[in-house]
Amino acid sequence: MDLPAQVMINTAKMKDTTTSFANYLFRKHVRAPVDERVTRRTANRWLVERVGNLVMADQPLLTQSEGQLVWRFGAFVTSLAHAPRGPIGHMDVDATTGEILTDERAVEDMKRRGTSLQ
Amino acid sequence: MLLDHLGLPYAQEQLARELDVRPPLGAPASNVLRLRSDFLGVTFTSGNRGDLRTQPAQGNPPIVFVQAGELPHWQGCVSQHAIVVVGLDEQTVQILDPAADPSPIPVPIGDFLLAWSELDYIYAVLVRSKPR
Repeated sequence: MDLPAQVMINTAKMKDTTTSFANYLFRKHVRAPVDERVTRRTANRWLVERVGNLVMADQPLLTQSEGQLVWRFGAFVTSLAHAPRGPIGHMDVDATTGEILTDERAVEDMKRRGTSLQ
Repeated sequence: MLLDHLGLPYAQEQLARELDVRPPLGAPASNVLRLRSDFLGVTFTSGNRGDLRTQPAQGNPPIVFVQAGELPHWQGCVSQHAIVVVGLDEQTVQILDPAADPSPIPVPIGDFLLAWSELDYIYAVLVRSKPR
């Protein structure tokens, strides 16, 4: 049986709300073994060394990826002349070991997106 | 600026090509190692306050990667940046900032270390090789 459009929209909205609440509970109750600030330094170093010396990691989100607890950072292009632009991609750091999980392919993607910001 | 200081002037375009500068991203900082040659030694690594004291004293002012917003003269500006350290004592770091005043700028040591820590204390040193 086809559901009326209004019911379908409400179902989608409820799913969004449930996901948001689950994310809220996750962030509120799960503590990462590797500190956010330390991880952000690692992420900044990785981006500056590999993508570009003006690329910065923003505030991370603690989340799960393929069963792993990860800090996920957006990568932004900075400038002394204007506010950061992006994200041009993201990078994941294992929140248990501090290992960087993002690979070299992501570096090329970020470079491609970053240069298209001009 | 540093290459001129070392007596190895590069044309801006040539330097940009060698470092693979891609506006608006800049260049991967580790590409500074591409400048290594028979005439130039290059180190790119993490360091500490002690390194910044000894390198300028030996005539090799380091290029230091920082978060500009932690430096008083760029307060509120969120941007990655690279500066040159030309002196350091217990309270102050003297820096050359290519995007600011051409004369050395004194920065309180606490502000400087905070700015440097954001990039995991990475720096580069260029050393002119002695003629054989």
